[in-house]
Amino acid sequence: MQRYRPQLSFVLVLVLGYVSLDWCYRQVPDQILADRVYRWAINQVAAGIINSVAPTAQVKVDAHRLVSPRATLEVVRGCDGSGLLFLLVAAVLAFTASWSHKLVGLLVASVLVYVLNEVRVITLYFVLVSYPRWFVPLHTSLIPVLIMALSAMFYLWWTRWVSAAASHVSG
Amino acid sequence: MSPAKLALRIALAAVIALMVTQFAGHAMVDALLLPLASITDTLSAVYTAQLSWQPGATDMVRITAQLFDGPLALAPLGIHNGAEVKAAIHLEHILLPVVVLYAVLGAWPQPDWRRRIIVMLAGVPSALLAVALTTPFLLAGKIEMLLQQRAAAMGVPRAEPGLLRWMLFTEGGGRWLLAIVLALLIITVVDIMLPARSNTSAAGLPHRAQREGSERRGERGRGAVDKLPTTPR
Repeated sequence: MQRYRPQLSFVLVLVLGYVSLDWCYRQVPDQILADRVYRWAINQVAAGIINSVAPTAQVKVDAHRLVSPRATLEVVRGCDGSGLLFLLVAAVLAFTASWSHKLVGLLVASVLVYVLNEVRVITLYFVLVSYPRWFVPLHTSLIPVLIMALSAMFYLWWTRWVSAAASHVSG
Repeated sequence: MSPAKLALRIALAAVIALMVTQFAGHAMVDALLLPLASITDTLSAVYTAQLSWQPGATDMVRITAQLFDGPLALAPLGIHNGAEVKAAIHLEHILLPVVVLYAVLGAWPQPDWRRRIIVMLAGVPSALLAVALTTPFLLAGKIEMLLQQRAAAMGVPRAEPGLLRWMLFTEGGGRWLLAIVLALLIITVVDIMLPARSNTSAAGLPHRAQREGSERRGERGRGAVDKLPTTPR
């Protein structure tokens, strides 16, 4: 049983870390998320990219909504990549590593989640416009699972980098 | 295992799990509808709940909640005793924790097929547990959200019910955490009960990643598995 203590403590820190981050996130009012975070950090960027890729789309930002003549996509609490970010942050914090390595892990995880979520929002907009029947399976299952696979790839890369750095120091 | 290979394995396992759940999802909901309805009905003292399910074009599981006066005074909310409130969720919402659970279990390296089959079978009760901890709360939580909105619109203060907090937690990403933690626990429990003969068994991602660091340093074999190097802080 002693052998499995690292795994069990990893799971415990992962859960506690996630729950703590989620609790903090719940304290932020919906209005602030919609008017500030979703409007500026997610939708303005997504609308800019969509309009540059497809100039006829005429996508506009209405707070937490991406509005065009052909579709309206709402970004609501939970659609901002927060769940994935909290998972990665908690997993990075749960792993035995130096604080500098953890800081790098947290920064890269944040950038990765932001980029993946923007790609997700933009993809979902185009799916909603062109293939609305595919919206639910893509939104609910396929894209989340793909994002999970990419996040796992990052996480394994990071743990390997940490382990290699540790072996370099000790060896 | 390289990070790219791991990502590929997870994606592949998830696609297989998705295909299986798409194929067996209807039968699964058919079988689970009654127990899920029982759980959903016990979650709230404000209403009695009935579930129905429309397989096919919509694939929606619907909840019909009949509200009654009791712990929640309905009159200030402008709702009459016995009023019905309806909400629905898509089949995909029910299946996601199962897909995530089996994506992790399927992608996790195992030394042999016997062990992989045991892990997969151990996933069945865990998948049921994951569904029981998410679906009824999601359905009941949708009703609670409607009641919260009504209370806010009518200016009636109403504390957020615990089941709504849990529903928001799971929908925000907690169901991922739940599925991943269940998968890690299954893998660890199987590892405890059936210790692997070779060092290819996986007792946990951090453990394995650190072991790989040891192996690169030339510490091959069982000793390297058990030795957890302490990285500098």
